[in-house]
Amino acid sequence: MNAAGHILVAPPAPPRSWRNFDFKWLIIGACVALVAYLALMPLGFLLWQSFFTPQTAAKAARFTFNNYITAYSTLETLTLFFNSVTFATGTSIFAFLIGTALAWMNERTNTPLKSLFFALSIIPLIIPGILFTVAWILLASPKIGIVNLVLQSWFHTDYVFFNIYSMWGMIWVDGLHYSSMAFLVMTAAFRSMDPSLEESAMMSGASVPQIAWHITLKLTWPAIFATLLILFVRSIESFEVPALLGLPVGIHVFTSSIYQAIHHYPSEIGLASAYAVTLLLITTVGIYFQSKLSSQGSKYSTVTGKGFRPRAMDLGKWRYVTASIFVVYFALIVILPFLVLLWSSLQKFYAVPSMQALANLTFDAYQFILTYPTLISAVGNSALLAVGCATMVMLVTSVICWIVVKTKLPGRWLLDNLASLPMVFPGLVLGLAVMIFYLNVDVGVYGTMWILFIAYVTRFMPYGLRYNTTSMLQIHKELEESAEMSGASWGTTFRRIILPLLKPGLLAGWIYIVIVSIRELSTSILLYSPGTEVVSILIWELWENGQYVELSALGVMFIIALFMLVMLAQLVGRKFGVKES
Amino acid sequence: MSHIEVNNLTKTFDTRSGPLKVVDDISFKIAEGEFVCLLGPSGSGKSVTLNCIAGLLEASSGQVKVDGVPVREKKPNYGYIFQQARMLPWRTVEENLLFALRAEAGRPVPDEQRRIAEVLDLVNLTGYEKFYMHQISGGMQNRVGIARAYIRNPDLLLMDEPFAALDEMTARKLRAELVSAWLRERRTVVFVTHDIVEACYLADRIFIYTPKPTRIASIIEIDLPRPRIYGSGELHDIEAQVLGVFEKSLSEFAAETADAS
Repeated sequence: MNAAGHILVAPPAPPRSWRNFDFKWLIIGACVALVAYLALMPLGFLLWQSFFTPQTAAKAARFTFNNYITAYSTLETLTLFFNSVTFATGTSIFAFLIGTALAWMNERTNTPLKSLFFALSIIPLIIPGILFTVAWILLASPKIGIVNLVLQSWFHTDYVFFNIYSMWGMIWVDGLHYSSMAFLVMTAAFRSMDPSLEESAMMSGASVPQIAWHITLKLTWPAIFATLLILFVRSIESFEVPALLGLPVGIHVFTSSIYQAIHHYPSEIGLASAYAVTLLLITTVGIYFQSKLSSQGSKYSTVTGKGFRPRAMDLGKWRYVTASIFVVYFALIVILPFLVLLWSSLQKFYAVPSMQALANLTFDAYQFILTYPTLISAVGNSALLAVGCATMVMLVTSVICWIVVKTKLPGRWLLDNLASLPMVFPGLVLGLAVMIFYLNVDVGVYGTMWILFIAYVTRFMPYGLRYNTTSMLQIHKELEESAEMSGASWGTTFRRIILPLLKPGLLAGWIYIVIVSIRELSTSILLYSPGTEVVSILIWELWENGQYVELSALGVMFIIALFMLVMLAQLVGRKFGVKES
Repeated sequence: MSHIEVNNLTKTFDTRSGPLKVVDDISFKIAEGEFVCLLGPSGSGKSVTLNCIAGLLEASSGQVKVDGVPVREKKPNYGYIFQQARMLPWRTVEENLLFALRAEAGRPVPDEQRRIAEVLDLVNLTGYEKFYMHQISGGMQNRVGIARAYIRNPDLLLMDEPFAALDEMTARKLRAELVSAWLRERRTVVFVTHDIVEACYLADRIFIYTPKPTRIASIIEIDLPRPRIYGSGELHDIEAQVLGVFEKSLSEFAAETADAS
């Protein structure tokens, strides 16, 4: 009896290990707090600053509407607004038209070499905006632009064919730069499109233009509109092109005006904040509608195509025309810019290509750059920031993502929105907001690498979240549950089950963030100080000093290094089975 | 009406694991005004054959001629009826039919209203002109699909399991309508199905497909008056005959794969 009683009575359950429990909430809590802090603090201080006078040692900050009054009472702001919208509209439409035409040729026609072209389409994304802009200055500026000089000598005239320092020039350069993004987005849209309705129209005897107009356009318009909006947002927040091409001839847009307000003496932080808040409003509206549109993109998708891919249109002889369009495009966006930088980097002083200049080729510029005092530290800083930021972002967002996707925690939608919030920050505005915050809250971050690190992590958090969400959605709850049933703690489950399953997504996101943070200029430009320069800042400084030849040498090496990095990433990606997203 | 000639048709698809032969060297002829069913298990290449006739797919080798003209050079005047109706969801029944009517010319054609009324009457949908696709049932959508195929007055009807997604009662009704329309107009019909009863009810001739890679195992002629009666003795005999061919080809297929491995 006694013995039986012993068997029936379960041994007293060990008290639930408080360490495991605490550990889980500690990590989750820390991540939530971090995200909230990163996303909200700068925004709060930016808004606060725009309503206050600058705080100095002698005077405390006072509430004022003056910043907005200064910003909005002048005719200048009206032109500023007009310029920004014209620039962004022109750029987005131009980029969209090129990108869509190329995507259509690539997906729906039998243009030769199209698979090669698709493989090459990643290269334009590698070239940093500032180098692309500088290259186009060397190609199409009114005085030294090679294209102008060639055309002038052909037609025996001194007429200026292309003036890159103009609104049209700005739209041309920025539009070309964003066209590869438009190409990738529209290619994805064409690929995911359901061909069944097109086929049935074809069986009804409809011609290709009719199908394109009545069906393809109708099905893709949410994608079209969403792409136009994201291009609009990206171009209204782009900084390099307006700063290098617009400022010298007095074409101001919001980003370049924010930069100027900070950089002339005395700097007007309040005014810059007022501009920044306005810009932020525009991008927020754009991003909001873009995400609305993308989520309802599948409204008209009916049945999935039954195996047969949309058949490629036979262009006949025209396919050589489309193939040469590919070649011309690639020349405009990669080959010419790279060659002109290469040429310039081999000169002592910048000279237009000629037989005489050919005789004077020299590696002086490379030598200058390689012995440049801040080069080593800038490269080190860039690498450290990129790797640190990518690692931090991917780990933190994996926890955030787990909470959002896998738990039923109340308020998790808020967390999702918080982590995506930095999406609406233009790089320059984020830099400004972070700067204001750490000028006011003295924790010893301002003027160190940490401020850059914080800004980068904030800026790229949404990208990390997106990569993680994609792979997190594919992980089923069963594995976690069975791990838990086997007695694993939350920490062990996360480390042993979730992270390994996320690995492909984590790696892909990590690589992406490394590359974009190495290129980042607009966030860093208000935050760096002597000793914390990164490579893109070094290029910017060389530009400001007028050292074009040296800049070109650095640019050539930078592009080659980034190119090799991307190749390496693809190699690693293939080895570990990283899915292209 | 159209006649069809298929000579040594082969279709291979490039897949990740190498080329996949779906249709292997088949030849047949279909006469004007004939009703032919392509019958076989799923994945046996029936639809691929049909799509090669339609010109939606290009033959890897061999030739498909409709009315003596290779399909690639031919402007299609076919009615193609898909398994799902594939109607434009942003247009009403009437507007969908208008699209098909105007598709070829690209502009309004004479007698539009009369022709729409006629085909809607044919498929018993009069009164549903202003309805959108999400407002009518699946069976009705299929009828709109059939109406769309008829409205261009095609010489050839290609049908890819058009009734497979419907319940048996609706399917029987639509089959009866199809047969009575065919008896009136005698258009050439190529009808893909995996349903033995359906094939025996409808066809003049049944082409029975073997499993992959497809060849035609047997051709069965059915010389019974229409409308045929489901479950009648004559029909049952033919069904048994078809089933026999199926089982024979399946066991041959099993033996072949066993030999190969």
